[in-house]
Amino acid sequence: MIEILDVQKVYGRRENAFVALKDITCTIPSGSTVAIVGKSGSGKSTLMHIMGGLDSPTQGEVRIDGRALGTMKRPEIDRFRAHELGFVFQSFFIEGNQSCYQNVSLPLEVSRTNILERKALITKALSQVELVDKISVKAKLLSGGQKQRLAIARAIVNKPKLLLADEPTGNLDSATGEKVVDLLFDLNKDLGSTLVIITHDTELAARCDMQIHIKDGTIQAITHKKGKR
Amino acid sequence: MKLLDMLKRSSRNLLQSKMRTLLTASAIAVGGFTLTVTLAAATGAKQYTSKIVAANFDPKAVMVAKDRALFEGSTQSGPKVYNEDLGTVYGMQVKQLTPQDVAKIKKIPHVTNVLENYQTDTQFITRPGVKRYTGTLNVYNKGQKPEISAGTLDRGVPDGTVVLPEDYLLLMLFDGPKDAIGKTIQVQVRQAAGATKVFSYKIAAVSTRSSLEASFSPTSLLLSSDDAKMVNDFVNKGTVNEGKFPTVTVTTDGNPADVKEALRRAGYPSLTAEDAQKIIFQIINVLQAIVLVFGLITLIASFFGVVNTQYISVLERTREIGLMKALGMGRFAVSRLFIIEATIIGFIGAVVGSGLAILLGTLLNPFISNKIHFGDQSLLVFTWWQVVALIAFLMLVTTIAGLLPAQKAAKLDPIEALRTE
Repeated sequence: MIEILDVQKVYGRRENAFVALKDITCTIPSGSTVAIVGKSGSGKSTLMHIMGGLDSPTQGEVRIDGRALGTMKRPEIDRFRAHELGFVFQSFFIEGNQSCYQNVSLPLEVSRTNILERKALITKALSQVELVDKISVKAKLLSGGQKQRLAIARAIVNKPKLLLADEPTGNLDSATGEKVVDLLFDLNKDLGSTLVIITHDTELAARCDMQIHIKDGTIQAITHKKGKR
Repeated sequence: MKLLDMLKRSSRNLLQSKMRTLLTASAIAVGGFTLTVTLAAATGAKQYTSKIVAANFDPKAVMVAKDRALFEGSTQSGPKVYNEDLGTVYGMQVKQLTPQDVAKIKKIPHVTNVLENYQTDTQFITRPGVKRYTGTLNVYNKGQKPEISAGTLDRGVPDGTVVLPEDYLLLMLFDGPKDAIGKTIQVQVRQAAGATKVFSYKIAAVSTRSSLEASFSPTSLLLSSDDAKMVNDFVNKGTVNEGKFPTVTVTTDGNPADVKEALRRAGYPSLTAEDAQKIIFQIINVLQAIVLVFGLITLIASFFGVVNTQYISVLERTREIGLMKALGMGRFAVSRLFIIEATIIGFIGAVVGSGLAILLGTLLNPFISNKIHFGDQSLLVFTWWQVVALIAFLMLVTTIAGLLPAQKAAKLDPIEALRTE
């Protein structure tokens, strides 16, 4: 469960101060799918960074399964990210010169997973995104959709409890994007991990259990899919 | 991240920008090459020196004088107060040793033998039917091991015989070194007053030029101490040098350093084989230090090269660093990844530089030794521990050079880093 309590984020100081987030309070149940919807500049990326421990709020608190991120020390947060968190970015951020295997291996290296266990984990993650036949192909040779699937494989290889996806379909055409989204939802079911998607695509948002609409740094509305309350 | 993973990632990064890695490493290699050659040359020179000292100085022998100036090589600074011991050596007025001094020196513990060192200029050297040639007479002492092409030195140089340098063979119309053995030559010397005297000697051995025999002179005939004394007494009769000699060689059966100390207390400056070696080593060390400084200066340039390259590497991989940090890689691990990269650059450069130096040195050594008359002694002597220490040192230098860029990488804000497209 993710609890966001009265979170506020201010950039700059005094007359240059810019309020990115204000009075954000919400609770995300474990295993659910959540869409954070808003226009660009509304503060949704900032909210995701704060949820992932990449950024800290100026005020308020984020609790993941009861642990407050604000009270954790930097190595603890690093460990939390390495073991319990998966990131998917709009522009993939995969290393084109490295093979698919090496790309997916990175989180395992960061989390110091035993070398002997890695091969099986990587193969499994790649087969979940249907890229196992490309295991030793260089990432730059993949198509856009394949690249995003590779990024997803990298995000799920550690079996994270929380998967954060920042505009995962933003750089893909609608057909490819749909496949990627299907994949994310399938993984959410299979792995039972919480899925948080940042998007301005209302169609995609409608598929999630919960939608958080953000405008100018504040929550406009929280809606729930029928039967999911 | 585990060390092995870091090594793999770093090497992969370096391989990806091969040209840059190679150019940066080659700057280190130049320094490594220079330093390896310098160290090897100094080792070679010291080995050569040790061999020379061993060939010319009996390690148990001590050379004794009465005047320190003889060992210090100082020139005369002005007139001196008259002293009965004063004589002229190499145009310098120095106090000389007398038979009384020899008697005193002989009483010092562990002194087994005292040999007077006479050096006498002859008028000429000749034998029946050949022209007259110049030459000098020197005392043969057991510490010397001249290279012999004919005859023997097993019993030293007995009275009435000489060791003849090979340069005289042709002039004296001998058919090679063996022909000369047992033949007689005449040596004429002249007193200051004008009287001359001819001494005859049988040739006991023929000496050849050697890369190790520093005292080998193409015009110096070696003879026994007693014979040399007879010639010397005749030549110096009535001069200030009569009955005196600048130095004596003392043979010991104990520690030469102890004898030297006893001699010092008795008022005689002396020189052991070790001292002679030390003087030459000191010169080598100074030369080595000068070249080492130049090598270190090239290293400073390559140091900044590594700093620069690593900065560029960090900039190029801002996004990757951001990703790794987002994935939970700590600051320490990120900085270590880049430090390891710098260390590997140092390792490559050092191995290439030292390897090239060893390869070229080994190939060219025979040629160099031939050119500078080193005989079978190599100028460049590579010592494995010196090479290993040098490689470690160069790796340390590049590691330090990598610290600052690595710090920059560690401090990168992942959000900022991931924003860069």
